[in-house]
Amino acid sequence: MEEDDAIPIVEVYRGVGIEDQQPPERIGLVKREIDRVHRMSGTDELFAYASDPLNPPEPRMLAGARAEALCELAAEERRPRTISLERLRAATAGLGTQRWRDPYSHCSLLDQPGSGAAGAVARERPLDDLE
Amino acid sequence: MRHALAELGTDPALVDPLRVLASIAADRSMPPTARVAACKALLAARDQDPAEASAVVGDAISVRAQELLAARRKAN
Repeated sequence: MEEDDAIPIVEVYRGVGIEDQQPPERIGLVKREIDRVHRMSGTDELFAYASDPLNPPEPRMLAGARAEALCELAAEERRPRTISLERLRAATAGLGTQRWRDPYSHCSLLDQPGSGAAGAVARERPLDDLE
Repeated sequence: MRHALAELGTDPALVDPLRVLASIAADRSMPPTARVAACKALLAARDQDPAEASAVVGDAISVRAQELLAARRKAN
């Protein structure tokens, strides 16, 4: 396993790292989606967004983190959680890591069984470091 | 913190941290160490990348979400 398994980032937008090997048009879309997630305030909505492999990985990770932060606040205020943290973490597992980065689609290999997750957006071209 | 402010009858959304820091820095009755710390925090805020600083939402959920994202990245 590599020492640093995090996917290299090319810039930080609103506190979220934008992953490398994406064309400018795709980065524009990722930024708009990050804006959209920042406007979301419902745990269920954030959970649904984070779980959907059709959405870009960066805002999905942000949605997951925001949903988890809301769960923490709910626990602090002794309110019941409306989502399962375990399911949330499972839904975003592998995102942001080189090891589980899907070389053909903008998602994680763990999003669906096997590579090239059905339903995820195909990459404009496969990742450079394919072995 | 949100709780503490609510208990004091203060709306957390109305508290401007930079204004509070500036008032501490300017208040001669405050301990010198507190004033220096406030000045340092103000300088750090001023030196932040404006594009990034203005865009990052400062509410507690966003701050905690950023911490979780950073922890996730560090774990990889």
